[in-house]
Amino acid sequence: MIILKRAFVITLIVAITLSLTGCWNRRELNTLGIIGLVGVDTGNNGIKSTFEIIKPEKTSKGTGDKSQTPVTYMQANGSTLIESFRAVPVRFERKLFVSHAKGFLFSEEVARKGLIENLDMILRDHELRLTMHFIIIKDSTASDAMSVTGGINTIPSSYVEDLVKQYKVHSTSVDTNILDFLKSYYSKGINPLVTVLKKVKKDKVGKNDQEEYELSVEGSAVFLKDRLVGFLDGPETRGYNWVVGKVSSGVVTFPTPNSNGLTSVEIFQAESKMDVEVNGNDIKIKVKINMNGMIDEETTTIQLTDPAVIEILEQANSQAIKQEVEHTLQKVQKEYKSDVFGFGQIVHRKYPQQWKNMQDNWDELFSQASIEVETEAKITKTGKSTLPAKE
Amino acid sequence: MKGKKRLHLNKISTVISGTSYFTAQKKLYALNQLIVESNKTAAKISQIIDKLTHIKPTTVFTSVADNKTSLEYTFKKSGDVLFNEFATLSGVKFLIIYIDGLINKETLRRDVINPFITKSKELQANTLLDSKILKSLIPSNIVGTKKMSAVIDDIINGNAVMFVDGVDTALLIDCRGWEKRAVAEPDTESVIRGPREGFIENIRTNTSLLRRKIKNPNLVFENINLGKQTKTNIAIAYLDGIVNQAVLSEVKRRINKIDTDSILETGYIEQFIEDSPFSPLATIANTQKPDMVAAKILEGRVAIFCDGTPHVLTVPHVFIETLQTSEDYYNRPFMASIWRMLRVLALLVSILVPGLYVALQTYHQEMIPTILLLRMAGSISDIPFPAGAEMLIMSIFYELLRESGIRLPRAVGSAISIVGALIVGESAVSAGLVSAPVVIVIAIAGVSGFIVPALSEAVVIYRFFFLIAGTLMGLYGIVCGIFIVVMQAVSLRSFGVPYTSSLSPSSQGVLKDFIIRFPLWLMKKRPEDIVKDNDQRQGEN
Repeated sequence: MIILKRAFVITLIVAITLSLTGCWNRRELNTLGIIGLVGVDTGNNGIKSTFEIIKPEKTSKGTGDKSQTPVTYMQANGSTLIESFRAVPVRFERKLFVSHAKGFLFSEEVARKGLIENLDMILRDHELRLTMHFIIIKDSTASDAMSVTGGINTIPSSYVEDLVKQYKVHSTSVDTNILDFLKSYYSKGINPLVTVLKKVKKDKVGKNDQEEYELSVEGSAVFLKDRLVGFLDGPETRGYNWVVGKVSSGVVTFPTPNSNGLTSVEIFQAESKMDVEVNGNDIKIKVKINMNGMIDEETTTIQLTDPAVIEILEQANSQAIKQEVEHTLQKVQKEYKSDVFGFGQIVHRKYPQQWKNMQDNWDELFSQASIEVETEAKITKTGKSTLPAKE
Repeated sequence: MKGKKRLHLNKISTVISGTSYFTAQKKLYALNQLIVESNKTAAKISQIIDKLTHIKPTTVFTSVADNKTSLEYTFKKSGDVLFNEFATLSGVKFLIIYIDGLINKETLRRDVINPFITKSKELQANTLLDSKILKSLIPSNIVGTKKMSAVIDDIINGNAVMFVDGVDTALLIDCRGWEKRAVAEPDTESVIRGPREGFIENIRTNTSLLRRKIKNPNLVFENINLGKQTKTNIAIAYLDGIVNQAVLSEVKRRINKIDTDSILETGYIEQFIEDSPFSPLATIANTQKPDMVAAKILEGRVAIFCDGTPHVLTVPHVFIETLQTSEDYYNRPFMASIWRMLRVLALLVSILVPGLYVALQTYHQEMIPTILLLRMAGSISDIPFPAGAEMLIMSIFYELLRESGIRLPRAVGSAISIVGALIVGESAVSAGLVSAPVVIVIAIAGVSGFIVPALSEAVVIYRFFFLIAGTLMGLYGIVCGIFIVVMQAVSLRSFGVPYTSSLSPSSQGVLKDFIIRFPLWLMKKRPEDIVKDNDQRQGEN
């Protein structure tokens, strides 16, 4: 009796657990079309999606023909994004598999209309990752930019991904994923700032008659909620990165004081402190930036062994940063009227009572706010040589 | 013709008077009856005679001839039982019986027959003699007995028995000496550091090897004979004062309940006394190394020796023992601990990797890094089988290769590696029948499986189990499988000791001698799950 009861309970448990699983699907790897990039443009009946589908490389030796592109492209129209996804299998023999997509590319045209409708599917579908790179294509359609491979990577999606990740080296762009965008979109007091890629003509090196193209990271795109309002170029984007403390590497070049030449300082470390002061209607934005760097190039003959000289250089360095930052702040304030920095969130934390009245027209208030930028640069090293190369 | 026939038909009464056909018939019938009855009586008589001869004589006869017939009958004139009859110079007949091959003839001749013949000149023939006098004549290890059963036992066990005419005592001469293998390094448990000697097929040599490790009067070997037909010698070894009495009495109880024809190997005993016959995980350990047995006995375990096999059982057996080697304790603790961790890793890899590969490849492609996924997709793009079937085929093929490698004669063994490496590794992949990642996964799983030899049987079963679980249900199946396997392992008991101790139920041992092997001077206590009392190994607390 007890055994019967136990057997019954065990069967029940097994039956229930096996039937209550979540998404479950068995699919052989060679029935999948692995998508590397998705490009979204405006199409005939709403959306035109372009998919970069990676052709798996055969491991058998001696395939020889390496010039063959390892990807294939599919394009489909639809009134919604998912409809365009599902329109592909009509002309393609494999099931689209989006989990490994490296990025979503939106053309400037789509972005200016507002993106949030297109992102709903990305949020909802189980296969799509929210950590995909989120990229705006400037000046051309997304499908146009997707086919470009300018680097060493033969797969365009890897090329795009690695290219976008380079922001850490130059700090003149940002790397945003879908999640970042959605977080900024849903929060009050901050607007999204998104990676921008542009298809550019490749500089001709040597004899090559063919026209070649490459992608270039062109600063960043400023959004007001989900609508693209404008672009920041490279140096301006670095101004943004100074403010939010995301500068990790790069070079600050400024004219050497009291002489006819230039000094380049490599950034080792940068920190920022953002603050907002509210006095009635008077809003004051305060940014304090600390930088720590090393002299990497000096074209004049000044004595770098002298601490006083270094102090003068530090002054000039911090002035250069200040100019960069103030320029960016003013441009964003006056031209785009969109708080991409998130000063609003600071106000929210610091003045929760006042924020209730301010939150709905914060972007307007932000554009009126006065700016105070304080910078401090420290040069801690002068590199391998103490004396300038120039005599 | 006609006249002859007529003559033949003449009645007997015409030849012999006073007879008739009917009386003759009657007499004939009576005669037949008599014959049948006498046959019956003859059968009865032969039965009685049979019974009478079948009754085994309980005591030894005084006459050599009687003893000889009796024993010849007992041994059914088996060819290897030799009856050697001699006579002393004074004419006293004596008989020596032994089984050819089990005794040392040289010893028998030198120490028994020659001295007896030379010293027994004054013995009187055809008189009753005293066995004590006889004993004094032979400078060898001699025991006198009057029991016939003892005589038979001794002959079977490889002793010689001497009967002297006129003496009602059999003399049991200890001159055992049969062919045995030299003590050598076991094939399966080879070590780099540590003793090379291993047990052999002779139980006495084996017990002596252990006795040389533990020179302590508390080391006890309890001898038992098991198997109705084989009468195999079994020895239960333990260290009195340290052994867990509960385990010891349980071992004895279970062994005494064994009722079988034969015990040919310790595996027979193992299967009769183990706790969970249907568990893939064995609850009884076996080893061929005296140092391992010594270490286990010193931790309070009980060892079971069996004549005729180099494998010695030790109980209770807990999970972590499968991951321990003797070298763990001979090497310094750092390497020992690292190796133990690697063994755990190897165990998991060997069991889980084929299942995980199939699960990830057919259900969870999003979990594989992109570049790896593309590589995999590339290599399997033309494979005609689904991933699960492919892995199953290759797993079975690997087991076939392994099994044939064991069974084949050494000289042909290299053929198997050529077939395995070339045909499967190279040709099958380049022919597009099997994908390279599957071959690699099988190879990894196979190699890792050898790292924990004590679990090799369970590993194979679990590998297939997880492969099927992963094929049918993906990672969900793997997780369910882990759940089932762990539950089953935790529920096991080996002679009252939880199989997964000292991890669960946890005790101090889990820190000191589980994944990490602490320095010996810190392991002051014997494993408390096995030794219930007297667990102080060294020092004060």
